[in-house]
Amino acid sequence: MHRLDAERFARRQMVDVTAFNGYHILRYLQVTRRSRWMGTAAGMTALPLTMTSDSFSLSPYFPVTGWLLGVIAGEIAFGRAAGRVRRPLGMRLVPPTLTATWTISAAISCGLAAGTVVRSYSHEVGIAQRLGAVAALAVVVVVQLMVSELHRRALPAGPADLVGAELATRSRSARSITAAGTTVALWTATSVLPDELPDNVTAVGLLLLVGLPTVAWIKSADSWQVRTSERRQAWTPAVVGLTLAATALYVGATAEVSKPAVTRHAAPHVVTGHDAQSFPYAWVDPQSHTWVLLALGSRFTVEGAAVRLPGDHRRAPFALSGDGRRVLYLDEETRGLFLRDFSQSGAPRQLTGPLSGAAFPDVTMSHDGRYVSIGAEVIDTAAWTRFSLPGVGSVLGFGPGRVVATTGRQALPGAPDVELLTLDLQGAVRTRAPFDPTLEVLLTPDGRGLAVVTDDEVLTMDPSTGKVGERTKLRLPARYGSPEALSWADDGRLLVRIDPKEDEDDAYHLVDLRTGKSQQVKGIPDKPESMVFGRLR
Amino acid sequence: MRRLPWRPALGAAALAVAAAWAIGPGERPIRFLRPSSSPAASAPVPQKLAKYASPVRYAYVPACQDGSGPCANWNLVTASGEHGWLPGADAAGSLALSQDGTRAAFLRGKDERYVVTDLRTGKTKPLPVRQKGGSVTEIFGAQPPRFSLDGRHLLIQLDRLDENDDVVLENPMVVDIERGAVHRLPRVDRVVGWTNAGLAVMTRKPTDDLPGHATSATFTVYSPQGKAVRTYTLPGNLADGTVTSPSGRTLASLVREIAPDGIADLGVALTDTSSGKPVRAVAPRTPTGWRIREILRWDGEGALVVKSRGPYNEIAHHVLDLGTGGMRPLGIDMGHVADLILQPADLGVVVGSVRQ
Repeated sequence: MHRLDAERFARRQMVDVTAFNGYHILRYLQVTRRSRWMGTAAGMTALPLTMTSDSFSLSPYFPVTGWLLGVIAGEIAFGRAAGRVRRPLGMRLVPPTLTATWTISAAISCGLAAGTVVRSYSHEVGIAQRLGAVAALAVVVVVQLMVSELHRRALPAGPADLVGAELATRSRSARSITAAGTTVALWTATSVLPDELPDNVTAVGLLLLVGLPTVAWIKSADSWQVRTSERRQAWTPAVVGLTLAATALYVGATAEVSKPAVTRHAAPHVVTGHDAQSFPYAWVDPQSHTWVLLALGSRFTVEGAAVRLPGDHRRAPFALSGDGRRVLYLDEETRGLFLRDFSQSGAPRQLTGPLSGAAFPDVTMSHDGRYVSIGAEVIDTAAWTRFSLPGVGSVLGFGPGRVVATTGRQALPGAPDVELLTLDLQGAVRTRAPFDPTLEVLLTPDGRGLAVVTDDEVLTMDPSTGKVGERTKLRLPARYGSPEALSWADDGRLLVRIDPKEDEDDAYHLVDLRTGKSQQVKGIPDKPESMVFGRLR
Repeated sequence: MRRLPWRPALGAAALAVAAAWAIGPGERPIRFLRPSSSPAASAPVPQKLAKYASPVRYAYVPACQDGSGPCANWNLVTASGEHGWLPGADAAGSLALSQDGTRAAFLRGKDERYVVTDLRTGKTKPLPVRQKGGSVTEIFGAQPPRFSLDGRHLLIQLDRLDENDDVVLENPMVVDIERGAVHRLPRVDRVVGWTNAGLAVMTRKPTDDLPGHATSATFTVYSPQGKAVRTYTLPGNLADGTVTSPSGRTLASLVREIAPDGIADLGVALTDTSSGKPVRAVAPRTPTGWRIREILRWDGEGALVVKSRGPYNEIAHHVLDLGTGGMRPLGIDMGHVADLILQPADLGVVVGSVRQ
């Protein structure tokens, strides 16, 4: 076995095994092989760490890292002759191509790590990314020091074949360390980047992540004889290295500052194959900070929809029609309001130019999504005509041939009366009635009545006269404050949210307006400030 | 000469820097602004004082927490700058000041009895009303005592916890401070405040007769002797958040709409209690970034005492002139006021005499 190893070593290092160097070579192989196997085995035991809950893919990161540590440990354990020369020996232990791949890898790794350091002073950088940056720098430093040390150790005094064997063992170690270091440094450095990157960065990154290690390993395994290094101009690799490092630094520093480019009018990927889809609700996903529509266990991102107002923490306008088929949102890029119709193919329609200023308008949609009110203006999205609603402060909804509105917005207790209006579809006022602006109301899906929810009752009200109709005692669990009316279910029940005294998960209920009986609705996230409701089944 | 081990030292230093950076804070530490720069610790220690030469401008719960007299009791400050702590007025409980700043009422801890201290003479008079077990305090919904406009009567509404640990307010009582007579009023939903004619209270009920409304609010004014002297009914939206004027003719309320991007302040509305119609609206000239958060009481028929919040959520007290919208600061130093979870600064100040 040792003989075979020695022969393979001799073939790859292009060195003759003689009686004077045989023991040296065999001892080197014995020590380093044991360390390498131990390192790889340790890396294999860490392999399950790369598996995620939703993926069974295995990453070679830990085995390769273990192998690198094994190579380094073997080199230390082998214990070369003491003594260090001032200048390098002038020998080339590593092939130029392998040196080049290492230079590129080290430059990129250092740049990304440095970029992360820069980024940490202006943005929040997680501890995992910080540790990744430190580890990448550490790998580069250790590999460079080890290879440099192999070039600077004094050669043993002895016959030429012993010196040749010593150089051959050094070359083997240097090539192994360089190839593994190229791989580990690069893969470690990429951990500082966020998961989502611009497409062009991702493509180049993948090419480097796979390409460089592949080249490095191939060149490491090639036959190579140690030779004297000719004088070369150092500025070319220096310039290339610095350029790469600067580029990587920029990528690392701006990784989370610049977001991926948004494709204009990009259709949310919900549309394809989901023409009949309607959505019960949308919410701001706390992980991705995007508007997400949810239906039947599926999640669809509304691409381009702003979550927050520009330069503000307040929620951006977002509405879902009562039938759950249309969505109105503030476009993140243009700051205009867009309408997306899931029942039709095609790009979203832009309804307004850029909105600016401190006050953003209320937005309301009719149950079928045909009419959209933006402040006191209504857009008929079937005929694409507009009309204004003079004197209207808030649109409650749309009925058959009319708009139901109030002259003021919903208000806190103590506010004086406003007027309840019905207007025709030209904007002319048809009826007026006094109205309590502190009431919690929701227009019925057919637009013919208002449901009013008080502390302990639910009642109906005629929008034309303000006359109170049926009044029913609410049968809801013990709660703090008043229920909040949110949406309608297909069967005519009203979805309300309460602040339960007992069970925190007991927030959403469907209420029968005739009996006041309620049924708990499970599975809806209790994030009222981040949610918009559409059609419940 | 021995060479310095610079390589290990350099390595160790680099390791230390890297470790510090890796596990260090993600962002620069946030600095919280406190608008009142004067720290509580440096405030002059008030003296034990029950007798004051001039009317008390305000009382406050002190920020210090060492349990000593000045820290454990309500501190009083007069318009002329006198500063003392009122013996027996436990800072954990409620306190009332008469509008002329000459009387203080509080629940005395040692005998769980309400008492009134005459701040001109320093004499304390016990009242025949006891709150056994103490009050749940204002933060949990208790009603603090309130002096009538002339300071001769005191509203007391006892509280207790029911079997579900919900706070229950008992029927309000009006106590004649000089005579000690107690008049118990019927059950109410809310004590609105004192008028010249007596105490105004409100009860709410469902209504089908008022278009556009689900409830109505009946306001009743009871004389100090417990007789109903006036009743009027208003829409349910005026049941809460309204403060009655001394004459009882006008209700003041803040108009705050729920806009898509937050609460929009539309000023102060004045409502005629006889018709229920708005009389007029007042746009307060608040400093930039400031908003009125609460109307504390009227000052005569032409001004309101209000509590405001600033851009950094700081608290200030002003007198709002209803004729001009001008805001006169009361000069209450919030830097010495406790701001704790169970003793928020919001409830830590009671305003007395605001006259200049």
